[in-house]
Amino acid sequence: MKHSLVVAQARHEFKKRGASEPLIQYNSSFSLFHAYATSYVNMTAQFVGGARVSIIPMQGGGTKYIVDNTTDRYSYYAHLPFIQNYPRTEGVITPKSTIYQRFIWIEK
Amino acid sequence: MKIRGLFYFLPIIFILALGCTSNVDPKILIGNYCFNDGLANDSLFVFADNTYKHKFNANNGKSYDATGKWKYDSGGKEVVFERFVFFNNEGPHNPPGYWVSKVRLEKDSIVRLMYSSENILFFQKIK
Repeated sequence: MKHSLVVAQARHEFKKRGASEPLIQYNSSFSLFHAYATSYVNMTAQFVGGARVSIIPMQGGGTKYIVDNTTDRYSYYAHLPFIQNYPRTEGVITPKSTIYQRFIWIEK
Repeated sequence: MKIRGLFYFLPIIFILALGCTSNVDPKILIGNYCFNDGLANDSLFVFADNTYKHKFNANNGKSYDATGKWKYDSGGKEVVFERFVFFNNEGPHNPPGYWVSKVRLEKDSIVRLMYSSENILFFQKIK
């Protein structure tokens, strides 16, 4: 994800704003073109697709990156308008049900 | 042959130009907004003096809020909120920072400040 398009977009926005204040929940876009372009190049990024990226400078140095993503049927079927999402239910196996992912790392 | 090619090219240019001319008057951004579900537990107030207030009512009865400045970026058709904080039922979700939100104009003059275009989550203007 460090090298993904969604993080690159957020990083660009963060630098544009001076890179000293946090950038919160930046809504990075990810189109079908991006999905095609990342095929076999960055499969993690392709799986995640669009995401919200937060970039937070840390006291003492370093920058924390947080990528929040929802993986659901709507995303899996490339945002087709009639697709409904299935919530996860404890104890019940529900293929393609919604999960929430968070990726966190620190860059020095 | 060249003229024929232009006839194919011109409609594309025209369609692209249409998209470029749908500007947003910043005045329409001023007002009160609710997050998607409209239950008003997560409200955003955008004021004419370029300040805002974000208020969240947690389900335990506590209330959280944050204030700051906003400005409209016509180039990106987005609003930049300074020192913005998102809340959940446990309190602040992040330290204050820049939140950049794309403005989306829906039919019937509905104004939305997008939070997640992938998940279709937004603040919608109600007043």
